[in-house]
Amino acid sequence: MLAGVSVNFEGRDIISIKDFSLEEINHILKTASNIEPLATKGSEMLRGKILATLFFEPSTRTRLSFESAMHKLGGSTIGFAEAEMASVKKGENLADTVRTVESYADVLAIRHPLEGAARLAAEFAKVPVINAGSGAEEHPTQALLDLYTMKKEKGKIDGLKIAFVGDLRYGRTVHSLAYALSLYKVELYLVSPKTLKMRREVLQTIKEKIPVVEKTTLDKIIPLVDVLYVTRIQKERFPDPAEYAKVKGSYRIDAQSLSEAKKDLTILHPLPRVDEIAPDVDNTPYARYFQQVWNGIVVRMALLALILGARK
Amino acid sequence: MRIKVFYLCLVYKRFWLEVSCVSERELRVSKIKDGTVIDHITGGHALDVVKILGITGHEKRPITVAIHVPSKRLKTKDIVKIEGRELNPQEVHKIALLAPHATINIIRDYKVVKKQEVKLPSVIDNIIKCVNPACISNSDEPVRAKFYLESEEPLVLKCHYCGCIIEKKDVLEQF
Repeated sequence: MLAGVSVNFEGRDIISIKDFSLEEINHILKTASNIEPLATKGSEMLRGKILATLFFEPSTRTRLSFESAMHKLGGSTIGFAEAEMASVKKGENLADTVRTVESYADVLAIRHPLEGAARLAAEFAKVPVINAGSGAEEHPTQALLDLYTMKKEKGKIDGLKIAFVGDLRYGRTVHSLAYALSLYKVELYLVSPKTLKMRREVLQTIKEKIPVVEKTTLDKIIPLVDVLYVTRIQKERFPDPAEYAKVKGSYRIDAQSLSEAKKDLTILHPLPRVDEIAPDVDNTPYARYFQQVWNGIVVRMALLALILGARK
Repeated sequence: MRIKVFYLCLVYKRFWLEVSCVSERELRVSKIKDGTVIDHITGGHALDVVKILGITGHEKRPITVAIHVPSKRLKTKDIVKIEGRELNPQEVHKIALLAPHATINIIRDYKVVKKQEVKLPSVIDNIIKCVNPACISNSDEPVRAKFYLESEEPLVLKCHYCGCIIEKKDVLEQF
């Protein structure tokens, strides 16, 4: 299944989507496509291998998705789900935690509230490190599963018109996805309140590669785009609660607001959602965010198999 | 041709602005006996260099700052002369952040014993901090802040850990 691999991922860290070329990303997506049947029937590909999930921040989807992916490939998992349960509570730093846990596992998936945490962990760890979300910085595996979903839904990524809506400043998923999409031939529309605009360093990089339009309202955007990528305004990242109150509920997508959408519009969301997508959208053909969750397992299976050097 | 040269002099806690009309060949900046002359600072940036070196004016040694002096190489340049202090390599790197064309002259007994053009390395290690408070390099981890040089002029650095962009004003705020 993984034969014919021209790109060697064995032992590699997954820290930032910027560390990957277009060829490498396409190879991961192809591997995911090949491995998807195993997500249903299971495999023993990674039997004897252990994934440690070190989650210093709460997570439902990402942690369970990694664990599910590992189990489906015959491997096993250890780890903790919040900093309160770890030695960090006793004052241990990340560098020491990583150098301890690497003795117990073959690969580490780390979520941490500080930006750059995964890169630091990779510098100290002898085993591969996967960034499962580093503060408001990046979430590379989410970007890969978003790309996989787009490719699956649309048959291609090149040529798509894609709008990001919501919190583009603190939303780590949109940072990684923007970097990844800038490797393809897409048009990107960035819709956010002024205070939550896309980070300068991301804009600087992507504007050199693809057309980018920044907007503060959704007016005329919905009929134009092929993919609407909606994000939650992340209350937990705001230093000032008053600032959060000002932008909370800035954009709300409901069935009515989609009346002029293209017939084959795809709506994605990294989840969890609060009120930015109304429940009445869930039953429309546009809503593909729960398929994203499934695709997350598939892409993480592919990544684990590639990193751990699975051969069959 | 007669031109105006502005000197800022800091001597023994006294600070004054001297406006003098002299010719190009009569630049009235006296030689120092021992210390450092920082020459070819980009015009208008001498006070930034003074700040980054932590010079407050309370040092008990003569310090001369010349701003917008005519220069063949740079059209105008600034000069900073520090009596009784030789800069260390770390300080030279700091100057390179703000004045990438500067020349450092170490003076002993009125003679130049070492002349060095500053060079901004492609990786800036452990000189400045990341401005992003949420960056792991600002935590208690055993790690040193590291930046990649994106542009020399205007200065643009990128944090190795969080990717945050640092500009000249961010550097100056740290000193």
